[in-house]
Amino acid sequence: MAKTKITSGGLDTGAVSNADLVNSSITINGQSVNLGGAVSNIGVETFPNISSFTPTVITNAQTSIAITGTNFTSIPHVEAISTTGSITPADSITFNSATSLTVLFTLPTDGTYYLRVENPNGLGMRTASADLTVSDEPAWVTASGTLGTFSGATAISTITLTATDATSFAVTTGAVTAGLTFSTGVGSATITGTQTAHTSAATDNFSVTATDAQGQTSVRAFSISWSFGATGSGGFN
Amino acid sequence: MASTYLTRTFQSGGNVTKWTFSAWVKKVNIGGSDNTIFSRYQSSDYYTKVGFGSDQLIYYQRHAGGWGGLLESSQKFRDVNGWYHFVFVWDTGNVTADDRMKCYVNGVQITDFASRTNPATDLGSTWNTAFSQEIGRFNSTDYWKGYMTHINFCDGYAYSPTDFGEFDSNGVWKINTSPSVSYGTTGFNILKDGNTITDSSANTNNWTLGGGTLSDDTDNPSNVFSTLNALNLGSGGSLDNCGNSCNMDANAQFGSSSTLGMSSGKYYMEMKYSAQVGGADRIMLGVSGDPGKLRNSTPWSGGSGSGYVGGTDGYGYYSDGGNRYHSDSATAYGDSYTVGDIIGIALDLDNNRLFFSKNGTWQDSGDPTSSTGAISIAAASTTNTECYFFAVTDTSAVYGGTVQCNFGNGYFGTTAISSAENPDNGYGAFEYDVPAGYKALCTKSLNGE
Repeated sequence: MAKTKITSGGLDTGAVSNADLVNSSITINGQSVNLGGAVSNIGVETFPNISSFTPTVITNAQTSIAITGTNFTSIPHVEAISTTGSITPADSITFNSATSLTVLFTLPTDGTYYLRVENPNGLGMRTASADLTVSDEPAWVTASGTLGTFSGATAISTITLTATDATSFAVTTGAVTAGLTFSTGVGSATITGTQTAHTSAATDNFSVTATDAQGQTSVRAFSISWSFGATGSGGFN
Repeated sequence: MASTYLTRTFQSGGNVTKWTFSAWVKKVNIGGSDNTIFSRYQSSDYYTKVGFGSDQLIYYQRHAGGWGGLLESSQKFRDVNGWYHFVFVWDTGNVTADDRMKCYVNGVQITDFASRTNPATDLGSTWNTAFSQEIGRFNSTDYWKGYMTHINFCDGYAYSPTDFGEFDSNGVWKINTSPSVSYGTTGFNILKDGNTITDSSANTNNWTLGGGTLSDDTDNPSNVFSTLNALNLGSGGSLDNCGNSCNMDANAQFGSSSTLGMSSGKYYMEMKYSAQVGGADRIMLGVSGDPGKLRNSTPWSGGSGSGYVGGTDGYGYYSDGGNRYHSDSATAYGDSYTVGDIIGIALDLDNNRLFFSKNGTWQDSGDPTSSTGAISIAAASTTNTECYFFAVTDTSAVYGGTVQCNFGNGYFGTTAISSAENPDNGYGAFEYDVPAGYKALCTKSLNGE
């Protein structure tokens, strides 16, 4: 049957009755739509959306990132896109739900990255900004363990703790011996002073956390031992 | 003459094939055999004796009339100022013969012996048997003349020196005052930082003072105090009281000097003229930049400069008349002094000044904290030794006497000072007030502490 195009004007209300239509419906984008009924999902593309992820600062080592968002469908493709343009796919992707993904990334190059999630239907979304930072955590130069044995009676020679890329240090477990002063700095921290806690041989244990500009931390355990010299003798007259 | 020794009758159960004896000792005399560290004498056929003979270290085990074990070091120990740490190990169950008797000095094993006899396997020592043992004496003689501290005896254990000390970053052997060792049944830890002979280990193996006077001194391995120098002692002289008393007989015109010298800083000491010989006071006390003269010559030199106060670097305060002497010249100075008087000497090498006090009163209206009444002295750098030593001597071939020095140990002879005046840095104890800024002559003072 020949088809007629309406090229101008239109049809008056009621010019075409339902009875005039096959199954009283029309087809839009391949979907049959009942006339007089509600129209849904017609012409709407459902994109995944990343609302947040954590952590936002990672090292070059393989790291798990938890992505929260919407409209994830199993199993999406996830990748990190460097601001320099390189793209690194996730090592593995776990689809937890339409709002939660867990992905493993190994990003050997320091820098900042966008994250992009692409559902199996090809619809994908990238974070608006390069919110993922990849950098080395502070690297301790000072070996862990004993920092030495010092005379408990006099001021110690300055102890320097060094960690590459650290911008600050803090004693996070235990404490330096009473009487000593722990001073943080960029790249290194110092311990000075005269202990007041002991009168006989002793060892004090504590841990120091080095933090870099990205908030990454590295913890190292240390100890300081105290010795006390003799103070007298017996004279055989 | 030393007469001090310790005794204890050991209980049964001691291990006679394995033990370790560790002690820090300060040896203040030279030569002779009167330097026993510890011993057990049963008979001339059976005994243990450890100490010195003619300054060589001896470690003897007499057994059945022969030498069950014997070590005699080739090395002589003639340091009369520093402390030695000795460790003696008896371990006759050791399969290596040379390891059955071992001795260490300041962390290093002695391996060069003038004489050596290794014990037979499992030979039992006379020491550590259930009989009376002694420290500081052997068979009623050979008394120890000097100091001991931190004696650890470990019954049934063969320890190394590193269990009792360690090398510091400068390579100096230092004491561990709290060693982590086991003491077994008969073991003990005595003389820990003083003269206590109550066992400081978990055992209660207390010792008894067998005789003499065991003084409680401040001299110790971590802060060595000066004594008089047995290596610089004139003939006719002898030292007692751990090297702090100088006996000068009627024939002697010589004396001795401090073991430690001073090139800068301010120092104080006291000397008590405690006994007169011959009926007259002929004592000269002071400082010398050429202390060898105290041993080799009379104080006077008749213009030759060979005497202690005859040259340009000796200064003395004379008992007879109270004059001061320098370059063979007498200058009116202060009061004469006699037996019982205590002479204080304040030496200010930062300003080249010297002061003497008598029983706490500074002579010539002196004030060691100012220039008032000061004796101006040559800079230490200009003296023969480039430093000064405290000096004591008598001046006469007819008269003599005894001078008891207090370098800060707090004793005149065996009598403790009646008051305890401390220098500003806290090291040392004296009879009279120590002038501000002055220190006892000890290693911590010399190191600026």
